[in-house]
Amino acid sequence: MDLTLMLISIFVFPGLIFIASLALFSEWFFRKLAARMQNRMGPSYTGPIGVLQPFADLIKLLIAKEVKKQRYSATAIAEIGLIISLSSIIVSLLLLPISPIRLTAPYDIVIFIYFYAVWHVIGLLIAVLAYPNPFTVAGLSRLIAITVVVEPTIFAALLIPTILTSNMGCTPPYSIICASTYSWKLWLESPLSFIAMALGLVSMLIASQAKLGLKPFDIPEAEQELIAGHITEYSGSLLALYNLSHDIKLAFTAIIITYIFLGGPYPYRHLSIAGLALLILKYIVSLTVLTIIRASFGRLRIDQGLNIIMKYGLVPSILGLIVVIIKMFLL
Amino acid sequence: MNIMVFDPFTATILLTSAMALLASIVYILVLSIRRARVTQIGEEMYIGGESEDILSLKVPSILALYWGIIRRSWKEAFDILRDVIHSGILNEWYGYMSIWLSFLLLLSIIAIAIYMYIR
Repeated sequence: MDLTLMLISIFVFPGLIFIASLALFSEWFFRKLAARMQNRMGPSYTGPIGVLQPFADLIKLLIAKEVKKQRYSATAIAEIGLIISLSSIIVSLLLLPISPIRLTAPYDIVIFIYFYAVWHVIGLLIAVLAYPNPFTVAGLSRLIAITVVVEPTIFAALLIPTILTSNMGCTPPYSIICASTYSWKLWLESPLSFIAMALGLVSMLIASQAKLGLKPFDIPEAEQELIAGHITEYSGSLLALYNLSHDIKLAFTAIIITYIFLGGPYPYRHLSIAGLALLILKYIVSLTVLTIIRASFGRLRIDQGLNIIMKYGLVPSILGLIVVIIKMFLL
Repeated sequence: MNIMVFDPFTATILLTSAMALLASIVYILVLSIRRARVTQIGEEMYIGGESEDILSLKVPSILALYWGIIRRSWKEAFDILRDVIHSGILNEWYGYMSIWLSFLLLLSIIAIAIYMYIR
């Protein structure tokens, strides 16, 4: 194993530096588009058309603003939790074909879920509980309630292309590499796989919206009721870390949808102009869809939110899995 | 592009150690940036718009919690008993009381038997 390439993958591309820049760009795109949809200006002054605004916010929070301590807080534990949640997402990028070093294993969809669903959430829980407060605890309980519904939805949705591609004979079986390399073929392969992929895509979009805490599902940080919910007590570098981790999650979710459901740059190569253009186009499209959903809905109540995720997220993903099973065994 | 195929266990170990490495480097970076600027101002917690000095009871006392739980969990049993026994008919009251007293009598006989013969 090439250690240098591995370190470059972790820290430079597609690791820390690349994903952080992509995340800040995605936040700008997201804010600008939502603002334009709502007839506002959005970030406008820092850099050309405000593109550097998220970066400026991050630097200001990190360097200029101070961290407030509270009698029951544990700043170091909060930082460690946030950093765990951030790095678990960065590491799962190594399983996707965007990385120059492609780690893969049979059944690595489970490893992917282990990082994206388990470590990320555990890190977030540690971080939130390190600053106890009645609002924080109320926000956290809502966050957990949503997570309990969202994670199975994401897992079921990701299983659809994974099972279909390994059924096509791709090795290693049930791997992210297979799913993202051949998922574009699944849309054209047969009507059944088209239906399964469409159901998976819809449920993935809704579940990602809830996992990211975006508009119809921003119930954990409902500011009119809970101040800022689970991040009420954060300030300075802690808030910067939280925001960065949230943006990285946004960018990563768009990358997952781009690769695993829309097929990334394939059938072209990554380093060809057509491939890169297709990749960027798909990324922007998935980010735009997330933004449009965010900008066109108001916040739901917690029970309505859970209902919607179950109806339009969990049920379609399970239906998709049933279609996959029918395709596997009957045809 | 080099694809490296591992077994799932090795891949998990490898990625987890990569995560630990990345997390420690990021932690050192964050420490080096912010350590000087931690403030204690406003360290008290505000609950419902009041600070802790005013609201002395942040959580209910243990005794109150205990009785709250006991009352809530046994309320249903108490309601059933009350509805069954207190029907207002003297004859029913007599019946239930004799069942209860005979139950106590049975218990005492068992206790005496245990005391006399088994011990």
